Amino acid sequence: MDASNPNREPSDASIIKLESSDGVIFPTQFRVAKVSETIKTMLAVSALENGENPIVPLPNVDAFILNKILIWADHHKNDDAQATEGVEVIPGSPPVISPWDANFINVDLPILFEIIQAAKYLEIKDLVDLCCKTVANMIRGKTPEQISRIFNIQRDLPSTTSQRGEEL
Amino acid sequence: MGLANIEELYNDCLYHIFDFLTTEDRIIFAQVCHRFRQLFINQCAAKYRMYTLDKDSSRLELIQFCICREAVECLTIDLDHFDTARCYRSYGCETPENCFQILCQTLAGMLRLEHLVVKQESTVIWYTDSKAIRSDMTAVRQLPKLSRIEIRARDTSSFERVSQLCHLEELQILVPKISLATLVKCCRSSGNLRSLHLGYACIQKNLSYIVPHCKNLEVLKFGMPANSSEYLQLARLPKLRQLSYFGIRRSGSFEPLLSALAAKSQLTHLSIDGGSLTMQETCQLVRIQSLRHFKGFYSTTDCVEMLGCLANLEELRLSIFCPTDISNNLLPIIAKCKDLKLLQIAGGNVNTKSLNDAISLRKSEPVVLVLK
Repeated sequence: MDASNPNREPSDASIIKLESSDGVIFPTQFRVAKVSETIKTMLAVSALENGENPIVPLPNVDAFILNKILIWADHHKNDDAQATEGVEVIPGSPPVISPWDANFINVDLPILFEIIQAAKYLEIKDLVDLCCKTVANMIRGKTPEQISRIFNIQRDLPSTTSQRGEEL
Repeated sequence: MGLANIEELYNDCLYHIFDFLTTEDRIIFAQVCHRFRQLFINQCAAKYRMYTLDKDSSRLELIQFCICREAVECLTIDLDHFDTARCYRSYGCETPENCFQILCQTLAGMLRLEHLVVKQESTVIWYTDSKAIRSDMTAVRQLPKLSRIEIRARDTSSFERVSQLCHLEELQILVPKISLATLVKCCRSSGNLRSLHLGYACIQKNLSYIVPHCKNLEVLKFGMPANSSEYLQLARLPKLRQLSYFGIRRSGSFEPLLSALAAKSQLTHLSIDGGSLTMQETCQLVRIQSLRHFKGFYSTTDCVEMLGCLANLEELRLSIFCPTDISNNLLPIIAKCKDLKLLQIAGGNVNTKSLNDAISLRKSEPVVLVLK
């Protein structure tokens, strides 16, 4: 550990080990893993307690999803945080998604929802944004009936309440 | 593998999805199922807890407002913006009549509504006036928490239905005229009415008729040009603590009422905003020893001096209409009213220095002197 680094952060190239909920170990470059604020924090804590080369347990993420997330993280490891934060959501226009991301996130809905939940847990803001934009795009411009069909949601509102808004 | 359904997502994830939706899409989303609707309400309700419906209320906002109706606690409806007459649209009527029907249905669902203000003050003559207020009152009469109503309108010959509300604690009726029968019925049905504020001369006579039905009335504000016999009985209200009169009245007309109030001596606040008090009136006034706050008009200096007899006075607000220096007349008040905290003088001539000297000599509470 570099004594001159007050945050005791590992170097970008160093390899850390991430353990999924089903016990699979993913050796990962710190440069990739640090897109997750949660992992960064856990590393800082365990570095203080256990010294070098810790294993970071991720009990809320299984191997399949973790693998998926690490693929995304590897592609985005060089992203400039400033550049992505500067992009404003323009109300009324569909959120912009890059072709690579669009292809990456083209998965079945159950996988998509699980990635959202995992990315939220791992605090990977850009990935949460990507997933939520994708879901928002599916909702955009649809009727309540279409939305309930797309997401297989039981419509449990009395028809008068659900229609009241539309009458106006 | 995976989450079976979008409904399994935690709320914070769903809120995040919300962030990427336009208002229109959020409204649609809220119509899909109960949970989404609740999320929508959680996000927007704060905005509608206290809300004013007026010409700036856009269609989208009205829809959101309708969805969040159960969160509304305080609502102001500006009726000037509801009308059928298209020719008046250019005056700013952007909230069409058919919205009004929906509003009334929505009103009936505002289970948390505590305070309703209905305004209709425009000088343009609308067609829906009375019908509108009547519909409002029909819609809200079942609401369990509605305890404060304010009505400000030019013409409300037809809001008898206020009398169907029975949880009212505060009622403000600022209209040119209402029938005494309606007011009496209203007081009778809302046995817990604590505060009543009537517009000037909206009741022309026999205001005393409300007295048997206002057992819990503590605060009353009214004004009328009639003889004191029309309101003398108000002094008999068993819980009356604060009485305000405003507007024109005949000189000396308050003597009987003040005398009756003095006999009970339970009033703590009295405001007579209009008409200088005469010597006879002041003689009765200073007998109301329970008075802690008093506001009045004077045009003679010797009457002012007598107010020093009000031993429990805490706040005194005077408007003076005489050119002579009244500082010396205020000195007894400063000396004798031990609990005095505020002395406000509007108009008149005062010597600030001598008053401040007198205040500094007091052993008790310091007095804040306000000169207008």
